[in-house]
Amino acid sequence: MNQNSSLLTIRIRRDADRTDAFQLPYEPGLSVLWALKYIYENLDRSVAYPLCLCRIGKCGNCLLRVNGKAQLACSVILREGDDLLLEPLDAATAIRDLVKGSV
Amino acid sequence: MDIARIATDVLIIGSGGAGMRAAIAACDANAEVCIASKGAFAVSGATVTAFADVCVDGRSICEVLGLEGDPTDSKAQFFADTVKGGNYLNDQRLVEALVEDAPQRVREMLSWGARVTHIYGQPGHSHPRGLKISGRSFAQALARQVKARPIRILEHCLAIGLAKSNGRVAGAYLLNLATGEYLVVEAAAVIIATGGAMNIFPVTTAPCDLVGDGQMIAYRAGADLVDMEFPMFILGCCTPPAAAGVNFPFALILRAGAHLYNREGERYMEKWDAVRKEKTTRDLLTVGTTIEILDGRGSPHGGVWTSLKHLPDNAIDYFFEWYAAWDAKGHGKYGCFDVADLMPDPGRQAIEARPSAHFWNGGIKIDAEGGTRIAGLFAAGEASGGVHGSNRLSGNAMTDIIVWGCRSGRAAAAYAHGAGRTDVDEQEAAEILASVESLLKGGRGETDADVVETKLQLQNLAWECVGPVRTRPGLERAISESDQVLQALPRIGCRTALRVYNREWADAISLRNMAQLIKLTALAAMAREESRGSHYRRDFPQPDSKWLKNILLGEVDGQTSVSHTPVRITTLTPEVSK
Repeated sequence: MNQNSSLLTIRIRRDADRTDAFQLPYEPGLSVLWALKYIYENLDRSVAYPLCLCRIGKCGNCLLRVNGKAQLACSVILREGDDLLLEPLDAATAIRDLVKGSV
Repeated sequence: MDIARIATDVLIIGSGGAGMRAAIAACDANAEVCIASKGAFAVSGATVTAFADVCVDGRSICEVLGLEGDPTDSKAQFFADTVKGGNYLNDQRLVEALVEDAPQRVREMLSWGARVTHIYGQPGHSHPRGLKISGRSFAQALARQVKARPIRILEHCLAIGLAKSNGRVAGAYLLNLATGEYLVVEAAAVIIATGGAMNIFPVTTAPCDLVGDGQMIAYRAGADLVDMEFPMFILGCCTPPAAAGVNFPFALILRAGAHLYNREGERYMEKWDAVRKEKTTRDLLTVGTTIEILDGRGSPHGGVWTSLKHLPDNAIDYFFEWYAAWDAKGHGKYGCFDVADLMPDPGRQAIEARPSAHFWNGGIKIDAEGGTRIAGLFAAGEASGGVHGSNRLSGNAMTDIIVWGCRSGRAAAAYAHGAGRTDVDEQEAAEILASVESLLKGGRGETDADVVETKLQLQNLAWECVGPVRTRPGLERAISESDQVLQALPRIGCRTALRVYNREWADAISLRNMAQLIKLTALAAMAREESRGSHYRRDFPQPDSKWLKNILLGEVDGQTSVSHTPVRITTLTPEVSK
């Protein structure tokens, strides 16, 4: 699993006019949620995504848009060379970055 | 610093099953109720994620629920199995309440729309008692009831301390993550329903939110903790990263007869249980596996190998076929994952597995009504301790949360009606809020410890020293290193000073809880010089009847006191073998 030579690109919509791009090392078996954890821990501590997460597709808290499509971040497995845009489900009500607001 | 204030009769911290059930009970007892959730309401906490069997004795399954149970079962037998499963450390008053209330509480759940998909037997239970209700169905049924009542819901609120004045509870201090504002909730009674603390470990089957907030704010307010030396582990994946903690390997052992190997190809469980091997108890499986890993005989990612290769190809293929139907997830699926996306063909290649923190048997010491040592403070569900002794039987967690959700909700409402609210101590409020505020400051110099690095360091310490296998030197190391972190806390600062939904700030707040919890677990594990249930001491590998007692942790004048108390026995006297 040491095929770290290839990179992934994850772009995060921060607000209406700002999108930040991050490059991450690729290995098989990574999810979008893992990528968010990696970005928070290693690249940008200010990235906001939910604190309460089951990581196994049951709670629904990590629902966001991946290239425009609503998906659970924990269940989207990354492919080599992926370039993904992550956006909040609904930018108008998001608390910050990728955290959904209260309904 | 913006501080909002609200007042209520009963404040419930935690919106999983125990918290929601408590809110319903307190509201129905005519109390004004507020429920605070660290995340979004009804989808935070462990309940929604549970694979979820709920236990009721077989006879009551027939007579009270009208379902197909085993009429030869009884409450007395359910009680006996639970106490034996807990290796006689359970508070038997609590187990009596568990088996007594279970049928009625589950009947309510069914009337509220929770759906039983099937009934099955589980290890440790002499009769089939597991009513399978998906965690989602369970949580949604409770959430509908909460929403149908005038209960105030506070989402994205992290509990940072309990308010105490005149020796009793005055409310709680919360940080509203969504706004960055503090919230002082003045409440006559507070119920802690925040779940376990499994995230002090690096790999867990539990949701990320369960990190011991509730136990630690209760401890700091003077409540006793009991049985803290008993976190429980089951086998989960250690790699790939997306599947860390997913209990697929455990399912392969239970349902497909997978074998476990160390890196030398040794089927090491034969050393521990020559007859049942991998199908031995969860405790032995965890201890045997952890020793292989700690002693350097593990797999490349710090686990062991889980293999189906001893089975013929068509038998493996058929396993995935029938299991998919049984689990109702679809062929090749496990939970939300396509197995093929995550790992090589599990029929032909081994999966790396490691013990993953699954449940905390101990917690805040409660009486039969969920009350604690502190007037006005109650606890329910996994945050509490005493029901399960040293090892919880499968299915008893879900029963526990509805039984003590209901009991604590009623008791808290009664207390609130009798005692009323008392004023918050403004000096205490200022001190607690200031300590949290100071963590938000940006990097203040080269000596500052990093929040994330410290968190990872603590998780690694927890695994090595207070994980499933303990030794005296390891426990001493856990105490001294967690103490170092506690002393360094004033020098820990966030890199980012944003107030709104600052994940690093929340992590910084939890560092104190994590370090304190590791230290307390180590103190309890050091005191218990024997092995029992989910606590294993390499230097004391056998159970010892002189340790048929519960270890209590409390804070007296800022110092931790470790004491023990005889087990509370009502009807079932321990079988003493030694």
